[in-house]
Amino acid sequence: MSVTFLINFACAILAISLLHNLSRRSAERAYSQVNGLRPAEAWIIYFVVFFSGLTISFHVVGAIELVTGFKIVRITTVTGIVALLWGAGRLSLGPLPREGGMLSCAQTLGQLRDTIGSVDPLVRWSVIVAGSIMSLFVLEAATRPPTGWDTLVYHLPLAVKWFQQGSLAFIQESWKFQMPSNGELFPMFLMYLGTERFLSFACLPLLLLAILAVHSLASRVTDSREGALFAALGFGTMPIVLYNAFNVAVDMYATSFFLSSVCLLLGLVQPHAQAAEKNLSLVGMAGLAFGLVLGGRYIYVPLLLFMTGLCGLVSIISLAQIRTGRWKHVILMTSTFVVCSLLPSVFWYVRNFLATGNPMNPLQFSMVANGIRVSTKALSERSRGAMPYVQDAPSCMVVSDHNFRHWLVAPWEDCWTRGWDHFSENWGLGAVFTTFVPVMTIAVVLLTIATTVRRRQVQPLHIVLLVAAVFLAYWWLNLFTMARSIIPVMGMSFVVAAVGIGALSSSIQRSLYVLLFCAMTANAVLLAAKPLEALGIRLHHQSWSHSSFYEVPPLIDELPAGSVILNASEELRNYPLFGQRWQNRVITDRALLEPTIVPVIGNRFIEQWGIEYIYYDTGQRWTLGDEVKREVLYEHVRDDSIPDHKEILYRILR
Amino acid sequence: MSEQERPTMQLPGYVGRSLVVLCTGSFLVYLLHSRAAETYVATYMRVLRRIVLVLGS
Repeated sequence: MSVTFLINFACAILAISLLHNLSRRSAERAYSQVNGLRPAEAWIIYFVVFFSGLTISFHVVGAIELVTGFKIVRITTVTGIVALLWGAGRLSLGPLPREGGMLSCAQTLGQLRDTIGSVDPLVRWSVIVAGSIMSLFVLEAATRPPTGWDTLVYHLPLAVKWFQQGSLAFIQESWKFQMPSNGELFPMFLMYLGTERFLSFACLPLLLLAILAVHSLASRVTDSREGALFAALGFGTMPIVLYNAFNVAVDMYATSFFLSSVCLLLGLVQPHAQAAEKNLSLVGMAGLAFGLVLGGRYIYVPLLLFMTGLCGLVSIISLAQIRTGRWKHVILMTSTFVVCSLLPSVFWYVRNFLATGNPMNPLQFSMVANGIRVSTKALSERSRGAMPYVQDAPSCMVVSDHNFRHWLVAPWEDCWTRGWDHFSENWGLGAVFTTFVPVMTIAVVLLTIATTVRRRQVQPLHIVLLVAAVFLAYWWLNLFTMARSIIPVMGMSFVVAAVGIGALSSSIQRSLYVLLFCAMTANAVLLAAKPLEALGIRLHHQSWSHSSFYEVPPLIDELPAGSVILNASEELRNYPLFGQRWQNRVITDRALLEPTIVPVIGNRFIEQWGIEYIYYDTGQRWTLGDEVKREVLYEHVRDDSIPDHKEILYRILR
Repeated sequence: MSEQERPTMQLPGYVGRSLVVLCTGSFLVYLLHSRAAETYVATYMRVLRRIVLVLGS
């Protein structure tokens, strides 16, 4: 065990402790000051402060690097900034409660026990089923290194490159490494703990946060405890949500903080006005939560405008009873939201502007006849055969399907075009969603329209419906395409459905709880198939290690530390070639694809990138130049039916 | 908004019963029609067949 590892490990643990203390202090303070804040919302504030503190610390060190040119993005420097934030928080927030406090373990467990204990027994059984399926996913994730398509192709390779270089600087290798990357910072932070297995759980806190946010939103719009639990569990056990949570996907990051931001803004809608200063802290937290998303995905940039407008709207509602200086407070609250949104996000935009002159790089905007066209350079090199099953399953959803008829039947077909893999990070609505959400959403929307016409009063439900509708409309305009981009809308749909459950008489509710239990059980049984099969295969083949799981040669972990490997095989090999301790340096396949495809890998390319080893796939679109001197270290036939299709590890001879 | 002050929605009994029927129908259609249900039930059958083969050999 090296001294560097011990220092890194100790610093990471210290940073976690300081961030925990700072977050708890902030949440306890908010809980004691803001009227009507619920314990679940105090926990949301805890998570928002924790991740904002970590992200801003990385950004500060990254900004110092941008100014000075020194590669100082290490856990030691980041922990130093975290310590400064903690010191500032300690001075401004005051001491923690002497005994317990709202966020103590005993208090939280007690509340959880009370909540589950007070609901209908059938809902309690549904909670047990939901807990069981989540536990199975945790078990499956614990027995493997991280997985997921985008995760292995560029999210984790980017995090490892930063980790190795001690730098958040602009990487030229690919446009995929140049986007706002808050979502990759936490996996990078976990790398300092030294174990690859932690990476599989990088999104687990985010899943908890998203479930908390949906529960809190549901509690704001319905009195029914069962309804709120239904929303939280139904959303948390959606196949697409669980796969995103255990595949280190950035969409889970965006979903959890977007829902948190909406939830905290909704906290402003109180029946009794409270001092605007107290509301400011809540607005600030909502801004930070949205800022984390803004620094994680470009597609949320236009939504900054909408969220700022939403903040203005809820500020007006919350200050309705204040007669003097009302507009001054509204402007102050809205400005606070914008400033806090920029705090954990602006770093990436400034970095990209300094490197390319375009803060939104690699996105390029151009005016066309029917509006603004958004394009990404180098998308044209994408393989046309990327979705081979499209023709085989014409009724299933495809990657960019915006056919209205397809979406109308999609919940009942629940299928994805990629062969049998219907439940993945790309798709999977599940039985609970399909059973309740389509029917209940229509009923609640109709009921809401009817009651709104009569009462003419803005309710939290109106705000949830507005956010969901705007988000969905924005998505439908085809600016971004994947179904996983609208997971926040799925969460809000469950919140709306919870209102429907709460509006039923108790005898009818009881019938629905029977149905909930049946749907939750069916959902769990279907969901369990893939992880159980994966566990069985892993057990049968004893493929627990990094190399056996990713099907790369064990030799990858035995190369001299710092070896430079070119991935000239499929893109999913980008991450595995780094090795289980991230000891190798990998030039990803993107270097062969951008700016134009490299058909022959010659000595010039090898010299340019300092390549020492090449992991080569004979089935790819490039070949190895005859002039390249090399020796074969490993050779493997990928498919016995095609003996010429091989993966080969070459060592370059100089 | 506090629990006392939030105007509560209450659906008439016949609407509630209709919703239960619709939700039940939706659930049954999902079970009988969805490709996910068909595929993952087939996965269980495949795993069972494999277990039987392994035990048999």
